[in-house]
Amino acid sequence: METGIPLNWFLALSAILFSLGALGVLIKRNIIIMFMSIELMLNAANIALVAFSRAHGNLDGQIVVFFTMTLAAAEVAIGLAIIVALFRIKRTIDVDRATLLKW
Amino acid sequence: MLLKGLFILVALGAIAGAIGMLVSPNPVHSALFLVWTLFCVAAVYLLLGAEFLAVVQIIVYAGAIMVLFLFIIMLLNLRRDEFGPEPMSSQWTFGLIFTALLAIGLVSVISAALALKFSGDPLALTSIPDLAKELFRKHLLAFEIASLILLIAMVGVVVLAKRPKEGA
Repeated sequence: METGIPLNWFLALSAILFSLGALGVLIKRNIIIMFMSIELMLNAANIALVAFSRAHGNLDGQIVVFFTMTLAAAEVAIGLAIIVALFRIKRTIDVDRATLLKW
Repeated sequence: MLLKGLFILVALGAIAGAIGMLVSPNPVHSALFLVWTLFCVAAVYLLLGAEFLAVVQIIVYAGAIMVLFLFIIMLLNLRRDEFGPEPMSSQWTFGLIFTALLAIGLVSVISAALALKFSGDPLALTSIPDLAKELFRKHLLAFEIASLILLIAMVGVVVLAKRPKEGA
């Protein structure tokens, strides 16, 4: 890229945000914050897709990001409904106590 | 030069928001930090020339999704002792080790990607009408399927969140 911001800067930001999201999933035990970390990882991947879309000079990456956002909306709605259902049974948002499938 | 400075500012804002989300013990504060990060990501899209996605990011992510998160956090109405336990020390150790490994992998992938030569013109402006043509001609079926998925998600949420019938 001759002018403007180089591609690798965007990719570096994407990698940092993705790593922070993965760290959040690994170290947190609050299920809501783990879910937010997953959203952060989705966003990091979206940044990389849009950056490559610009590097290629076509719109395919942006289309993929558009569909990712649609699916993220669906995923968040379902996930939060599951969290509410879990909280109703267990009265907790601690993932260690979500052991319904363990026997 | 101005663009680079702007990008560094926005990127640091996004990273600071993500770290704030991880360290704050209160879920409401975490959600607000994530809203800030999502706004910064929208600004990154603007810097990439993807205006439509920047607007959609603010409307869908910062608007709809994070409001849903905040709504659920307030609906559950957690007391301080219900925030969930602090991470175990072994969790920190292994989490940091695996995140470091992941970061190394990502850096190697990025350096491999930089060796690629991109044939397209990076400054070919990609306007919103172009995006609409692409979306509604080439990807029309996927667009319709996405609407179906949203409908299924809506039905699924109603079923999941419904209070079970007495004695059922």
